[in-house]
Amino acid sequence: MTTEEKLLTSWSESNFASLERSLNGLSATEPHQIRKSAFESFRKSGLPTSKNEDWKYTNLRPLAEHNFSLAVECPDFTEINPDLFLIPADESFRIVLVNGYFSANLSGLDQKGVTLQTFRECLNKKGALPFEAFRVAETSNPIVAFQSAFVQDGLFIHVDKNVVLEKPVEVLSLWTRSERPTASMPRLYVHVEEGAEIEIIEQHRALGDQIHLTSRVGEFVVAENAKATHYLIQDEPEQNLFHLGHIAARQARSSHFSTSTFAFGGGLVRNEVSVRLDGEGCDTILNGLSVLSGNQHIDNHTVLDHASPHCESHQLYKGIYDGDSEGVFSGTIIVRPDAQKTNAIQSNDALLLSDRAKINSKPQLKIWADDVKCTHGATVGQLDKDAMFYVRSRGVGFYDARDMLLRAFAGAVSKNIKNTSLREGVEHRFVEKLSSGRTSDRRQIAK
Amino acid sequence: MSDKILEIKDLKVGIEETEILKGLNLEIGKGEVHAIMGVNGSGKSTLANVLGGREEYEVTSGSVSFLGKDLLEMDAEERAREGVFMAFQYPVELPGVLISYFLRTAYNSIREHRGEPPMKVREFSELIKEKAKLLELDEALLKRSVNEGFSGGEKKRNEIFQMALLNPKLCILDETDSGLDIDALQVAAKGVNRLREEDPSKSFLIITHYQRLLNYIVPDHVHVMIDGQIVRSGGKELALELEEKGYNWVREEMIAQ
Repeated sequence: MTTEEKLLTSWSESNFASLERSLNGLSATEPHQIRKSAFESFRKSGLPTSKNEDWKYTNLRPLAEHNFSLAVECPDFTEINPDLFLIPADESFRIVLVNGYFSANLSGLDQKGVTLQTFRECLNKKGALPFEAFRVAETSNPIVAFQSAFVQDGLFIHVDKNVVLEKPVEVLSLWTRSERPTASMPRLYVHVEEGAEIEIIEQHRALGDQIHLTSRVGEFVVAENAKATHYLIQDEPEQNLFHLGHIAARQARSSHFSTSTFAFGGGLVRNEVSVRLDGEGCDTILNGLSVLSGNQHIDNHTVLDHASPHCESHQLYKGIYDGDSEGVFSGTIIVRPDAQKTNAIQSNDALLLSDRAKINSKPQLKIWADDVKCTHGATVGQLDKDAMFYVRSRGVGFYDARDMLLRAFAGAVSKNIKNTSLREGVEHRFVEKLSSGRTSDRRQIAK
Repeated sequence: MSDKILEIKDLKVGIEETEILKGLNLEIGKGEVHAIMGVNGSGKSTLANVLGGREEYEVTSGSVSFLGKDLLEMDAEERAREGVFMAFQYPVELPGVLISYFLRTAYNSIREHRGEPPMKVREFSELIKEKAKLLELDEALLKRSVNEGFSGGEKKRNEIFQMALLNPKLCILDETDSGLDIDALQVAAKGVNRLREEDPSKSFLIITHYQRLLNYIVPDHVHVMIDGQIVRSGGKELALELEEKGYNWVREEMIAQ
């Protein structure tokens, strides 16, 4: 075992022990037993190191340098700055998680055929976790195991057969100020029954600036002919912030699943998406836009498992890297022997705005069927100097010209957002993030 | 004289240690149309790019004054805001940048420079429609990304359209005629002539390889450029003479002198 695993293990041991002490006779319940077995898995694996092929370019060592405690519940948290939301109140159902805890007084999802439960409710009632919650994301993955061990609360959304949500659900996940390093564990489970539809906007933001770890897992079960559209907006601070996320989805016949990740914040970020296409005729879309500066590091890691014939998947990941930032994209496409007529397309484009920024791009195709179409492409480039000159020669200033070209580059991802408020909100954040980078040495750009 | 718009004195320019312009002198007065003709590699396009503000070129000596200001001190965007416009030989495609947004940003940058408030979206969209009509530019093009998938003629016409909209004082046309068939050429020339009629104080620097364009945009002065210098200047008849006798004629005359 390497030093970093031990370091984190000692931190995790004490936290898990205190978690168990606070249980007051609930330790035998199913929710806690699931946590306990996840903790056992995690204890065995530890945090991944760069010896693990899937973690070659992302080093979790800095995470082991801090002594995190689990962020606490804030029951008296009753007001929220409305500017934090991306979608106006009347256009969405709002759900708020504070430090990973469901906030009942700030949330509302009132529609017939839609059920909302929480992890704590299940725990306190000594009940079982609903449906396949905690069974879609696999604890053989160390960061899923880690999250599942320490989860304090979680949100389970179930949509009945043929129910289409009237409005998108905006889940705002916040963490609060503290004097010490904290860790929060937001958890989401979405189950869409046959023919049902849901759109979820999951947003991560911070109210504090201490050293923090957001450990997030989202699970999606998309039944036959159902549709789940998911957006993840990661807009936490650029410094002192670790964000380890995993999305696991399972799709049945003729279902649609899409998840789009917009990453602006975070010092060290890992976004994993793992989808299994379990029925014929599924359609999966994975999109990502990362905008990084300073010392930010982001690792987008996708696994698309084509287990059935006639399915389509489209992946488009784009990144803009300034300063000393680093990006990683590793995308695996598995096509199982039965998955004939698979059409899988993956592309990854990076723009480097400085000499020091880096990108590692690693596509992987594992194909066992013979009648399939799989393509992948990766581009790495700088801002086109001819384009910059052209725009500037029309009177547009250097940074406005740069932002115009960057917006066009990013537009290929953001234009897929159908909800106008959301698209404008995301584009607004994008522009804000770009303008915060205007101090960087302009000679570095566009040469 | 105060009616000079552009004064180039002994301009020497190189790129990667190769000298391209070797002491070029040129004066353009308000409302004048100057044509610079020359073979490929004579330095014509370098001149256009240096005037436009392209940063890869190194000016080793000489000066360029635009309405009394030092043009070489200005960034490309400042030159545009002060009233210099260059129609590109190869207009750049900007996928994902809508023409209307592109032009409004440019237009308002120039207005801001003049201390005027930005023009509102709706008002601006009326303005570009009007200008497009004037230049026989298909309105549908305005809804597309800048130059993306445009034909050669559409790209050049889009340059003239931008010129009309941004209302510069000095218009530089860098081989606007190259690659255009006669119909497209006439449309482009008509656009330029209309701008001249609207505002007779506008000055033009037309850079071309061929005499053909000058049948439609009649110059006041024609200059022949060889090996980075203007070796001969004259009236519009010089272009015809050049067409008839070829560039070697000028070269031979130079040697004879």
